[in-house]
Amino acid sequence: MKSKRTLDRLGKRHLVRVTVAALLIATGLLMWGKVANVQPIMFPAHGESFSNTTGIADAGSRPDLCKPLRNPNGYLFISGSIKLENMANQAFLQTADAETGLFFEMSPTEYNQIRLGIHLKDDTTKRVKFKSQYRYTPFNYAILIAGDGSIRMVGDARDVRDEAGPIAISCSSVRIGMGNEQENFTGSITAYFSAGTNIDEINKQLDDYLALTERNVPSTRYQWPLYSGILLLLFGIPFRKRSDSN
Amino acid sequence: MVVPALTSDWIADESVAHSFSWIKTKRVLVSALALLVTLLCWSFASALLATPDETYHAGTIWCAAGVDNSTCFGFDDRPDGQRYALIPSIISGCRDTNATKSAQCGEPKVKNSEAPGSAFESMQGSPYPRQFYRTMHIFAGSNTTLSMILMRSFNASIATLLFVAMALLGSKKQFLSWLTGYLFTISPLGFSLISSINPSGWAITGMATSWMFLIIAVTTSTAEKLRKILAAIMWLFTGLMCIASRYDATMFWVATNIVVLAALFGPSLKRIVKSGLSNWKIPLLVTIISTFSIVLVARSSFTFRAALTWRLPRQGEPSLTLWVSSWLVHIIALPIEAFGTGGLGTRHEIFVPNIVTIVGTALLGSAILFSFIKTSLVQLVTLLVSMLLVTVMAMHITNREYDFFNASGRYILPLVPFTVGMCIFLSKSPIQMMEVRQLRNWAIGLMAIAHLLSIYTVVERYVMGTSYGIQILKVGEDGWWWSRMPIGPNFLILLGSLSFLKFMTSAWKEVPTVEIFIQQPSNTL
Repeated sequence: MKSKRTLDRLGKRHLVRVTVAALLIATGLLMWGKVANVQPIMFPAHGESFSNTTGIADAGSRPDLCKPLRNPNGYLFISGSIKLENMANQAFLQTADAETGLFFEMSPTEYNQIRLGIHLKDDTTKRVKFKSQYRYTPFNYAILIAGDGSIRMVGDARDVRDEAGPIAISCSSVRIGMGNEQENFTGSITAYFSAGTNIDEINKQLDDYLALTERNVPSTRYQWPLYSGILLLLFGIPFRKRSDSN
Repeated sequence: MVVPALTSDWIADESVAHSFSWIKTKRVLVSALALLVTLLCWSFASALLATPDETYHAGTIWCAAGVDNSTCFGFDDRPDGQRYALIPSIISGCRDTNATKSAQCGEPKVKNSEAPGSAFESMQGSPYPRQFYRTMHIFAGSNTTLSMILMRSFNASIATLLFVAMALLGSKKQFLSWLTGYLFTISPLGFSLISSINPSGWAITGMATSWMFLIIAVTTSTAEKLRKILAAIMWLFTGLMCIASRYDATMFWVATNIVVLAALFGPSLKRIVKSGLSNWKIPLLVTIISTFSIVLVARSSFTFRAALTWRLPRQGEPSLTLWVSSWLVHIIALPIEAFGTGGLGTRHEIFVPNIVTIVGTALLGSAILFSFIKTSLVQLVTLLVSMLLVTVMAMHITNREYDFFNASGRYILPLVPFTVGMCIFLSKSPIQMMEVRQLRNWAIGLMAIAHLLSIYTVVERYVMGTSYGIQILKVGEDGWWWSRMPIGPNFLILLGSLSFLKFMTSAWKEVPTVEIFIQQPSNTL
């Protein structure tokens, strides 16, 4: 009788523990479900829009996009979103053939780094890495190239700045969905192009965008009920006096 | 004076009827749940493509059924002779670029292509059979992260189920021997491989258990028919896991089966030979193993003949004497790599703190020393043969790879739980280390700390880079963590560590304990 009573008491205690733990876990998961779907924010639309939904978007020769770069305060600003299908060599966009302009690509041989290639006056190519490997889809990017050779790339909550020196970017063949003479981009890309001479205004917009992306992180309050529920379910109440069953 | 307070006569008494009780089953299930959670934590501890050659394995798994345009898009043959399998993006492990800091991501590939077509046609002479990849391919989908997590979890579940089978089928002595051999050699390298998509995981899971299932199957009396049959089924299953994983694991499996049978029946060989014609079981077992091995070798794409051919050192290379003596001297260091001395990955090198190795080696040494309190000839011969087997296999691997003095410990790791477990099983010591309550508690505590440090080091490596210290992990811009996962890295470490502790405390309850009291001498000066 005594052992039956003990078993009943143990059974009830386990039932209470499992019920409380299940409720805590369910609460945690529900809270998590509401915060987990934070999507990366894309820079707002500006200038001219392109996408490769119907194949490579060929804008042809666009000297108007590169002309402002002759001015130290001039800029070429490109932003948009990329969604990859596989991790083979990928080139997203270019402004000219034969590396005489600007190209944007990802190289699997360099640990899937997303990078920008910029033609310089000395006929060499400066490559600026995003310091970010392609991680999730979509990847939202914003690239600002100034006439004085300064480069700013914002994406994946990163702010990469570099100095390329004297640049010589041609816009003789603007294409979106291919780049650097490679035509094997199998994913989708949208790109907004704009050019102008007030670079400070764009920098300010990029600062705001970056601050917005930094705030765009999910809340971690759900972890309290979830974690305590898991621990309670698996290990019980740690400080409860236990009888040695061995 | 040291006096064991409780005699453990069950050690010598193997005739004690094995019983399934609800209390025992419940305890085993609690242990199994804790083990499963531990292994799942290991599954999530590292980024995708973390274990050695995982880009190769991922490519081969996804293209295991050939080009189907959903999981395998084709192959890219490179001028350098390498063949890359084009599979859906592996994105989760590809966050950071800093090679010295956190996780890298690579392109899945199938190496050493010689023939066009499916991935397997390029695998002539490779140490990997097809069956592991075909099984893993069941989980391969366009979401590579989910697929790999499913594969890792599946492999962790197999290891857990085998633990349940071992705990329920083995006698207390068998379980004590097996558990010591398993637990004292499996963390952290074994855990990291078992919970991965590396075929070495199956080799370890299969090899670490098959030998004891064979012992249970052949030593259980016919009165316990169900137990005998189930053990035989598990032995066959674990054997198939070895065969499906790596060709060297197949050789290990055949060799350890022979060692087990020789150790069990060798001493009474005369009696067996006498009754050999009437006792049909032994010839039947030998016939099954032989036939199985012959069929395997005959049907295999792996050139066993080439594998068995040794290329002796040539002129200008170190002499044969130097090579052999070097391995005889250094072989003992190879099993110790189970404690992380060889690193936990070749792609992202992770070296666990030295304390893990020191604790692991000390505990393993102590357990073996206890088994030497009273030795038997069979035990010593078996240990010698097992170590010789480890040496020969290590030398064979170095010979195959033309690197005479270097072999990775993970290749021979499947043999280590067997070597240790058999040594304890065949011991005639009246007491084993893990039976002594005080020592058991210390061992569990030390192993729990070593495990905590190991899983922490792995997680930290991927999330924040190696700090060589301890810190609260934060997934920063340079870091990596699973996107859309409700559990963070710190909690994963805590959960894995507590689960392992729970697993050890409940698993060892299946083994009776003895208490040691220090009795003061009565005639004090």
